[in-house]
Amino acid sequence: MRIIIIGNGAAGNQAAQTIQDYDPEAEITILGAESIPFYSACALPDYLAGWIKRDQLFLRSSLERNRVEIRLGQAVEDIKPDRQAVSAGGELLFYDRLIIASGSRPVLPNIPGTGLPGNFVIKSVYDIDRILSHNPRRIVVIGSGNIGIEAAEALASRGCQVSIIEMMPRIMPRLFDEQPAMLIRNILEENGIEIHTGEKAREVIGKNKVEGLITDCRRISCDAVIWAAGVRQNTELARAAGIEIGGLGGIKVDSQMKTSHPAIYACGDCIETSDLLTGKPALCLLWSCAKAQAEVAARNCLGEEIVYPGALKLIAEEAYGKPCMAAGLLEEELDRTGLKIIEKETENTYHRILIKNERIMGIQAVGSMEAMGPLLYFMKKMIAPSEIKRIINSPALLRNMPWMLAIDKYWQ
Amino acid sequence: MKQKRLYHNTSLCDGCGLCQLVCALEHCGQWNHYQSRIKIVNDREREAFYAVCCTQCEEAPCILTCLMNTIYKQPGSDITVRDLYHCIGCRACELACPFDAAVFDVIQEKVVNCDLCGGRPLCVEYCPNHALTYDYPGDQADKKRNQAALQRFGTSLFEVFKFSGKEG
Amino acid sequence: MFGYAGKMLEVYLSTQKIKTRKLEPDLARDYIGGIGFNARILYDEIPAGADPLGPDNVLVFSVGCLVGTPFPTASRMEVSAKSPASNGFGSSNSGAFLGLRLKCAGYDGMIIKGQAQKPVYLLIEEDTIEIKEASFIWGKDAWESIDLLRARHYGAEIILIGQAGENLVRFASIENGYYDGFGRTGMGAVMGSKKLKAVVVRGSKPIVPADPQGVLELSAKGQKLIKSASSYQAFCAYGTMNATIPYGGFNALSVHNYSRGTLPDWKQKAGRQIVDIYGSRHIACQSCIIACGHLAEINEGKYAGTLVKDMEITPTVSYSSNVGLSTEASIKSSELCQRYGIDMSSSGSVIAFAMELYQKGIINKDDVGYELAFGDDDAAFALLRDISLRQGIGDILAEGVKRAAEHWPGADDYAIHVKGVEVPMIDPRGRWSTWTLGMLTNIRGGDHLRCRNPVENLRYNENLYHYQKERFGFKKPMYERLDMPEKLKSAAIDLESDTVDIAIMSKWAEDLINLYNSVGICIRPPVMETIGPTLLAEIYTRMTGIPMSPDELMMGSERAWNLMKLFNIRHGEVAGDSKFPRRFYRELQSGNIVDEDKVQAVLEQYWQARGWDPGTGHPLPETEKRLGI
Repeated sequence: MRIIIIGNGAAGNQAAQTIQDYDPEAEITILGAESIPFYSACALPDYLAGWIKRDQLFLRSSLERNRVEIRLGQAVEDIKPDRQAVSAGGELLFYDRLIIASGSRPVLPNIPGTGLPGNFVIKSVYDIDRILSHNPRRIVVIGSGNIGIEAAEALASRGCQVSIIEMMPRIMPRLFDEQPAMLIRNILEENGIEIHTGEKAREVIGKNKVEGLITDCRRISCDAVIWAAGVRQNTELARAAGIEIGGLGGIKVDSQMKTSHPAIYACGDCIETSDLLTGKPALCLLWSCAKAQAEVAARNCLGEEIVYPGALKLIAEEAYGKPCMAAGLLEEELDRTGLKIIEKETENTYHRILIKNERIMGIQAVGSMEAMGPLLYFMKKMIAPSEIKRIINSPALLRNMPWMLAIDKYWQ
Repeated sequence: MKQKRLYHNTSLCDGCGLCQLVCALEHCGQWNHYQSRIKIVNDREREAFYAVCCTQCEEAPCILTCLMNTIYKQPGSDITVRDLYHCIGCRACELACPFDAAVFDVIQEKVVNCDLCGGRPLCVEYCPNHALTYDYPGDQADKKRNQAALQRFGTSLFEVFKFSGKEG
Repeated sequence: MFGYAGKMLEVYLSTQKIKTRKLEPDLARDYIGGIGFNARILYDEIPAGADPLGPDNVLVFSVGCLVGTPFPTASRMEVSAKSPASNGFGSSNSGAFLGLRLKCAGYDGMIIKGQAQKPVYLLIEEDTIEIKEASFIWGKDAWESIDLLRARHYGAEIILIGQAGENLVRFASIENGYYDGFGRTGMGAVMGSKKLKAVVVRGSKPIVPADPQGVLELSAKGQKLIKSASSYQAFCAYGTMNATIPYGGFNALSVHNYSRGTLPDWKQKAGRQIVDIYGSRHIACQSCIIACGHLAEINEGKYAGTLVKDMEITPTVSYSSNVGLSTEASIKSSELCQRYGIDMSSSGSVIAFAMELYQKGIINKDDVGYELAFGDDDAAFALLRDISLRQGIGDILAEGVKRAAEHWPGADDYAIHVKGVEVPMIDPRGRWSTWTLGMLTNIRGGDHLRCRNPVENLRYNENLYHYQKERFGFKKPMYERLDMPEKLKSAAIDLESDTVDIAIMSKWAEDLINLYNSVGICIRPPVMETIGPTLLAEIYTRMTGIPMSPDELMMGSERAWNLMKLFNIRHGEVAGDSKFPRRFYRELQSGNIVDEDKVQAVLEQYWQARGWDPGTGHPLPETEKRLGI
């Protein structure tokens, strides 16, 4: 069987790895648009800060060279579903199965000045190389999601003066509720990062390069602007080939990762998936989701029929040494009826657990990761919180599941 | 060829913490119970002690979650190992582990797990009460745990060990 | 610095300032750690005439230097201050887990000075050290306070005082977690006088040994040695309860304020079978391979629901024989003592003292508020509460038997103490040994834990050569295995006559135990039998990188002991203080009394062995010179 994978990122590589593991006969080709080997974008802020070296970004891979052909710098021109082929680099390549793992790209809003030198995004290694060679001293970061916060801390630790502009009333609005977001904000502000929420960027100003940013409320002088305010999925190829696109903008797939075309699968950032907890359509642009989806897609390519139960939003952060995590849904995403919120604050930790109708729907923590793994497991398996209490109270069960003890304090 | 695993017998454990010290000393050359790959949890109400340690899941969720593809199964022995060079200490694997068994090494600022000391676990050697043993799975201890899990979750613990993490 | 954390914390409660004191290499090498550090610091920093409950007293906690290694039983920490009971060097030792946590927080010890104006607690959490207000736990018992503190500081280890310490009861203890404590000499009262309710510790810094592999190997060797001890199996199974019946057989128990030597139902009440009946599981201290501590559970009857670490000979003798309570009431008394934060030995003695006064008509129901009788648990617990809270007659009894006796003419005869510290456990009229001479020679006062023969026989009970010798009771292999310098060993033990010279052995035993309290290991028989200065010097060298020979190590301990003696002398101790209570010299118990003159002769032999003036017991100038004090 011949399988072509579009995309050399997390999903693409995981799909190739899975196929290699499961089918010794399959011929696999990965077509990657970038001319550099497989790396993890998750570590880019660490490289930006200088905490890791450039070569640590490029990951170990157990793809065997004689089994998997990796073509770098080969952007796919188009997909021809009726001929079961793709054209890339002037060549027509035929497939039995196609896996689209084309990922996503950051977007800039349509405001003046974004074309000036000194505007950056954080998506590829080259972006970081460019920022480093630009050597900015005063930076504005637009967007306070995962990437924005990490980039801000990375640059601040290099000694730069950093401001964050966030459109919504609180930072990390899609990840944390108000109270934990405020705690994280305090940590960042105590360390010298300026944060402005409820403001939108209006214009980037400068003669031949970035010299400042104007928002709704103020003007900040800076020599670089980093846009971490949103991404768009790379669905152009699919759309052009007539593959159905979902309402949220990603490639539509069923629970087996199959697209509207037979023999074509999709996984990773580029798809519209479903939320594990609610079952509703959702976008989940995370490395671990990409890998999980890729494995499902790959195995189904080979003839299995396994089902992807849905994506769970999960992020792990570190704000100036304090670990933070968020998983599942936010308070505002849950209907108030039957909603129970457990909040536990100590001297230097904060935990918040959202429970609705006897199911754990969201967890957020600042300052400590202890016991979050087991709690997350319960959330994923949709086990009622009352079961946790029963296990903890039963010595016989607890003996076999001692990790449950660490969760006990939330149910006192 | 199945891999032997670490088993802890609670009724023999008295919480002396020697396993933690020797693990830390062996792996980091210092003694500091926070660096230990095996954690002893104290159930203060019943004064019972439990060990939390990497269970060497067959389909480990940490492997799928790792943002730097650092974790993998060692070919041949099937032990869950890490290529720490690429680890950026993001701690996502800690969250992925349903057993709270990943340990954040504060010195290296990376996450580690029990690697069974390459086949001769030191904690087993130093445990004065033989509470820790190194055995093949599928023995008496496993059967009991399975029954308990079956009762509570409607699924055997082996299912849990083979937790595939497809949920993402 | 290898092996040590390298710093000591210095807290000034009067000014709320916190400083860090570097651990000088000289102090580390010459005084080793634990009680050694305390001896030097207290001698240098407490002025003569200081009020033990006043602002000039200094409370020092030092961790044994081997704590944190896998060396078996390396968990112990020593606290010292000028004692409100004896007015001399007060000191107490405890294991569990705080020692390791304090070292991992970055400190080999804590020095607490001055007095806070309002109740506070000290928080040591990684790099954060704060003096925090403690009104929310002041007045609460130790267990409740621990729960409240743990809710705020998850995963921390806590030492604290109960109401007894807050109320400056002269024999109040410092509790170490729920179940362990620094019991004797009233350290809890010193902490209470400083209005320091608790110390909360959490730390994750590493301690680095100079030679990690060496430490690991020697720890394994230590484990093997201890497991080969003749007392190991029995000790693991029954802990110190192995000795209750033998002591009953010797008529050496402290029954009803030392008016008798044993009880007819002693075997049923306190034989080691009660471990099987009430003991539910073993609890170990950090790095311990014996786990002599048992969790006791009472499931039925008046005290149903009691869950406490118990099954220890000292509290059992204190409450079961001295106060005469039933087994279950005695277990309950352990819980109460831990909650109130009061010494189990002294509190039992004080209650027994009050009960005898009541029996003899020196105090009556009007004085107390209720009736007192030996064996009456309700009365005993009511009195315990009154003492801890300093209510009614408890206010007088809280002063300890020595000072309380001054209130009532004739009560003096019933005050069983040496130098103000209540005599625990053993009646020298029943059994004469290094233990009982030790009550006179001990730095702490009337105490049994710092002068015990490393190999105690529980079979023979013979007072030989007019108090000068005891039966060795063991065969040649045990003699050969004992880690003592050859010359000293043959002077102390004579295999042919199967005797031990008490004066010489007392000096060795005291120095050895003091060494244990400096390195931080436990004095349980399986350890004392097998671990001596040779192995300890080796592991000290590998851990710290400081070359140390067995002789130098023992000298370090001897140095500290002599310094503590000088402290006592400076703070008012005279040779005449080393006397037993009059009762032992005057009243027959199972046909025996203690011959004052003959004991004095052995005492002088001991002083000579120590290099002290045989007339005054004062360290001689050449001894001070030899030790470099």
